Amino acid sequence: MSADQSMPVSESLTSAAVLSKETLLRRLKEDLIVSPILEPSQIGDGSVDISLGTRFIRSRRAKATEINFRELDKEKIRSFQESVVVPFGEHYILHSRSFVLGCTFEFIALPLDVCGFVLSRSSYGRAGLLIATATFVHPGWRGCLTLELENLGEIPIKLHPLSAVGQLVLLNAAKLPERPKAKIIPVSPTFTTLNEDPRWKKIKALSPE
Amino acid sequence: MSSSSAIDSVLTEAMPRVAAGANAAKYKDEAKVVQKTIEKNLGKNADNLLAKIRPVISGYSFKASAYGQQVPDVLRRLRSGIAPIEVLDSSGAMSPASVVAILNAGWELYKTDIDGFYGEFRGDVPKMERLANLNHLLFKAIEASEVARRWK
Repeated sequence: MSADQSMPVSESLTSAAVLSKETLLRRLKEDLIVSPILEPSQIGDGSVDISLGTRFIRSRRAKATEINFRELDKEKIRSFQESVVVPFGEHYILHSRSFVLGCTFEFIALPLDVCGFVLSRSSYGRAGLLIATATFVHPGWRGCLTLELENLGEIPIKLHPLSAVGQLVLLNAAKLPERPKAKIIPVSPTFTTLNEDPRWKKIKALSPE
Repeated sequence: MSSSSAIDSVLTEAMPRVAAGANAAKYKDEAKVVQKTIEKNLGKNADNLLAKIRPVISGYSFKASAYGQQVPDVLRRLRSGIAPIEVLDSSGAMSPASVVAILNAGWELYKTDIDGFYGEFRGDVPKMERLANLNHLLFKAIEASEVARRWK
């Protein structure tokens, strides 16, 4: 979720500690952005609860037989995915063993010396809802986080925009010299950009199909 | 008396004069009669009407002083690639940015410092995509600030 904005870090890391609630409150007034905070109880010791936005990307199963990362391009990606907007007050039903991309309602901007991890909230996890797999958020990252929502349970789950499905755990990090340049500052879920990985050119050269 | 009923009474008072003008023989074109009579009476009552209307619409107006108070912080956030959903208010707390301030900041950034915003992106990102991203940030800010306002 943050490869586009990654860059080398300095060597000045002193201690990687989870930020306390007191520090989070102070940094939120200074240079940390998790906005909007709808309830003060969202901010806990070391983490901020994050909620579900209104935009989703789901797969169109009838349009694809497989995802072949080696042959992926923008046209193929568009052909088997579709965007869905669920208005506030309505819901998206995530069926058992199904997967959909969502994003956080909160816009997040990390300072240059803070990194984060996205975790499911245990209360949702116990119902079978997993919200993230690529969980690391780099220092200096900005945007709405893409959530990989999966229903691991047997029973369909209603996903409601604004429900606090996850938490962003924040830690001290080695300070970046400057904010990384962005490829995109996302405000909705973003699909895989693996088609832009230069590694595929070399893989193809080694083993033409 | 409420402001809206005050306006009603002004208009009710003007109607007989409008009707009298419409019946005058010298006017052949009825629409012209009505138009001229309305213009004449509105002109006569303009001060009175404005006095009644101003208190009603004052809550929706965005004066230069409000621009100076609200837009710079919104603009600063937008300029650095942040969706300006909330801003620091005078008490030091975060509060939802107004839709008017968000839109004004978007236009000011576009007109005065769009290259500064473009500088937040990698060199290989086309300008059209950077501009589209500005629109997306503005849309996100408007949507989320409105939700935050209603939530509180």
